[in-house]
Amino acid sequence: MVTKEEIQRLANLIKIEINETEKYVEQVDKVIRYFDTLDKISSTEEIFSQDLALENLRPDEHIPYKEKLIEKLKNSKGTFVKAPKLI
Amino acid sequence: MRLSVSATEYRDQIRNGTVTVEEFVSKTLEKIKKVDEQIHAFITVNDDAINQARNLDKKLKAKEKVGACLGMPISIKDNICTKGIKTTCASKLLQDFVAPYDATVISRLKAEDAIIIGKTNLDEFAMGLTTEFSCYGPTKNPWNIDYVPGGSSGGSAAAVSACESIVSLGSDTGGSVRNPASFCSVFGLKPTYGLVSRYGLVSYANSIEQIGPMARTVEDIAFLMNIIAGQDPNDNTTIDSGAVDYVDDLDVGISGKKIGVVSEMMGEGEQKEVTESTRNAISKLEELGADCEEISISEVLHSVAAYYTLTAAEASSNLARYDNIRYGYDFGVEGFEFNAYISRSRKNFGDEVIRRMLLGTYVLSSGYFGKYYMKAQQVRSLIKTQVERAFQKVDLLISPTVPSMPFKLGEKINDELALFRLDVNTVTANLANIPAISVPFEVKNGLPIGIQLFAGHLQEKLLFQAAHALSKLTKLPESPI
Repeated sequence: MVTKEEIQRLANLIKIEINETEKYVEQVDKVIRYFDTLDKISSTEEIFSQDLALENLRPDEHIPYKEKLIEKLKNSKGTFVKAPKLI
Repeated sequence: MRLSVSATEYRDQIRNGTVTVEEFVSKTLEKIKKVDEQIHAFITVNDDAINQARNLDKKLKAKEKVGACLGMPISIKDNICTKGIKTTCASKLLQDFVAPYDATVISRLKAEDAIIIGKTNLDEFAMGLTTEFSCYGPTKNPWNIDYVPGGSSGGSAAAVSACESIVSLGSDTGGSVRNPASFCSVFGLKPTYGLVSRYGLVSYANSIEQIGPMARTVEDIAFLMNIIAGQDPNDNTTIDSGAVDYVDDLDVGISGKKIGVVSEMMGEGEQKEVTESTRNAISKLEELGADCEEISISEVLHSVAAYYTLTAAEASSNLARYDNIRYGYDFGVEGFEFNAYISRSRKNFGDEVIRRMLLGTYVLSSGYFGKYYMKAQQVRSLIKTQVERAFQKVDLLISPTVPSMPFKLGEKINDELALFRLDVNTVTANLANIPAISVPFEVKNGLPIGIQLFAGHLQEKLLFQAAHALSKLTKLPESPI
């Protein structure tokens, strides 16, 4: 059974303020119970991982970007960005 | 002028001058204006489309070289980055986001002179299968606006079905292209994993998702794949598929091919009409000379649980980047405690997204990792093995695309497990990295039914030939809108 404390802890981990904890407890629990069917799988099954070829990576080059990204921001002035004060 | 043309017909008409790009594009924009208030397939319509059309007409007139799309209007799911046009993912967190670059699929289409007519609606971050989880409100099914269009690429499917664009690009993580294709009576392809670059696709579950085309004919799907498939230095999961022309030899038929009917995807828990349609498709394929036999892929029974475990886990990690610092919206400048600032902004994720992030974090947390995440990976491996074994016996697999016909808006929105069950036939292709296509097959009581065909790794050409053969047997009405 998923508990209210667990949901609060998860919400803190993913940094989301949630108000209706009860609702999420019920919904997450329902889905987790469904995921429990996975537990019937024999745990000796080998896992295939997808190996990526590492020889054909793109060259590590600087690609100049001509447009000014700062101009796309809403609160910018010259080369400054206005941002909230974070403590 | 008919808007319900295929890409091939459109290109012929432009080439022989029966219609200009501007005429076609402006007529398309008129259609969007007329019907989209009801259907709501689009989040953003491209204001510049008409100028681009005029420029192409000038080039055509001056006999300058113009790319293969010849100004064809194409709609794009709003989780694929388009330079200069908003990419919102139907999320409040990205409501003003304008990507400074094009996704690889977009630059390839632009190089062939396609015109992006607009960005289509989806479930927030592509999480859902009804397009009801969009922060901009749901898309409606053009066949009956009381019904869902499927999802998550519901806007793309509706736009193609209602002739608001000739073709579209969606993304498919667990059926998000094929499910709405089936519900809206269009073709939709989930390509082999790695065949199409994901560069510029906003990540949801990287190890599983693919961008896929949606269209009104198989030939158009093949035509789009000729443009968008291929290796990309910006996505090192792309694979070298050789120089395949998917349009060539589409018409060879399927005589002598072996088709496996997946037992776990037939009958049980399925709507009667859907089973009947599938049986009908199977017997028609047999008449064409295909050899159909039942085949079992037993792990299909665990596929949905494994799929949701893996995608929730990947999503919870992918969505961690939305901290409202690099992307996001204004908050005013009063002081915030660092964590409070992030969690307050992230409150703006929709319910479904929050649910999946909670689930993803749960299955990855210590104590549960082995019980869920590792088990899900094992199921994925088992499915791959079983699918490979099946393709040693048969050339193709067949099933209904979705076990149900389109249903009414709101009908299943609060029943997570009922929605999960709709994914049972589609997720196998994603977990096994193989291609699958939904073919519009019948319309019953005014609502469409699609049939799904699967082929082995990189066997898209064979898949298209089979889909083409099947589609030639159908004579479907156009959507009423």
